[in-house]
Amino acid sequence: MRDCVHVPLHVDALDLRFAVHGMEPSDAADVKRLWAPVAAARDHRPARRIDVTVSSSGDEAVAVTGDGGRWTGAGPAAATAAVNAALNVTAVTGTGHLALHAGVVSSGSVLLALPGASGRGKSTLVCALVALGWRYVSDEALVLRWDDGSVVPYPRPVALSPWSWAAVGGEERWASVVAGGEHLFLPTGPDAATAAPEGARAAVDVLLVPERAPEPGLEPLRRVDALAEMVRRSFTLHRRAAEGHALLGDVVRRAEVGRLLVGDPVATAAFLDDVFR
Amino acid sequence: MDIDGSACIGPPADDVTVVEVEGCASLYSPVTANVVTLNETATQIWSRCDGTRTLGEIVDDLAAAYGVGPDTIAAEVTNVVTGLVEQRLLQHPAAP
Repeated sequence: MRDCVHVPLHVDALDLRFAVHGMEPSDAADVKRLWAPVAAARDHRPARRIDVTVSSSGDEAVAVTGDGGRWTGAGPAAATAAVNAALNVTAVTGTGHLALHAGVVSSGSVLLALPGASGRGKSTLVCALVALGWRYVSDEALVLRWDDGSVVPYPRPVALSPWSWAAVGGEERWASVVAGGEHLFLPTGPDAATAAPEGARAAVDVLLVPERAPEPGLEPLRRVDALAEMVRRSFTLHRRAAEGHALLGDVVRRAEVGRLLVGDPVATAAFLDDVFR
Repeated sequence: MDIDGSACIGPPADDVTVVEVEGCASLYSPVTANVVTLNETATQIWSRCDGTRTLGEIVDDLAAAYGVGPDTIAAEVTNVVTGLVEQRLLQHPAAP
């Protein structure tokens, strides 16, 4: 058994508190740094427990368990990768807010959301936009308050493949932890002390549903189809279905809506920067 | 699936929530995680599936609203209603 930190690592995300037990000090420091932007002031709410155990068989296998499931890994920084996954899944499915799968960035008064399933290049595109000066809000979830649909930032750490990391010039811009074969990092801009968008209650201004294509571009999309995509991608809508469905309806009525053709992520980011900033 | 001509169509299934945007309805069932979007015509059909009209009455009502003969739209109305019932978005038609 390895040395473990005696004091649990506390992370707050989306109004949930987590206590991570059993991490090595160096891994715990990485997790703490990566999740620092979503940390909230301490209070007396009960914490959700996440346990890290390292196999004593010598193969460096790691198992992470929490109420969101079980994650395993092996190799360097495996605990960091698995804890990162555990924190993320538990946060987006357990949050009291309305959360759905989307990339989100902002620039000045424009808040852009890209709802869609995994594998559509959202994370790489979000990082390419941040590299152009957009503010990072999340590569994972659009999180909305139930009362007015305003956006709650969720700047979780991004995980990019080596190819995507190179494509967005990650090496020159951000510090990463290589874990599980991916670069784990916070794509905050050079002047971003916090990833929160400006303004206390930002709303979604532009809503683009991404679709892979040879070249970047925009196509018309019915608002009701954008609404359907948001519903399909939701993590927590089922808890307050009628209220949430109506709230997402308000979002698509207010926002500029379209289908985004995602080609090369850097070219697509430049295209979006040109159109919306 | 054949719909009994004397049965009233609807109402919507209990769990289904509806949001209308620009004349098109979005239907969502948190129980089945099913989300369906309707075009404007299908939305007009949906709005009449409230459990008080038979299929023939819905056809007649829509035909009058659009100024066409019932035969022109009967097949489309039947298809839309059948699809909504099969997806459990409407309660199964019950004989009066």
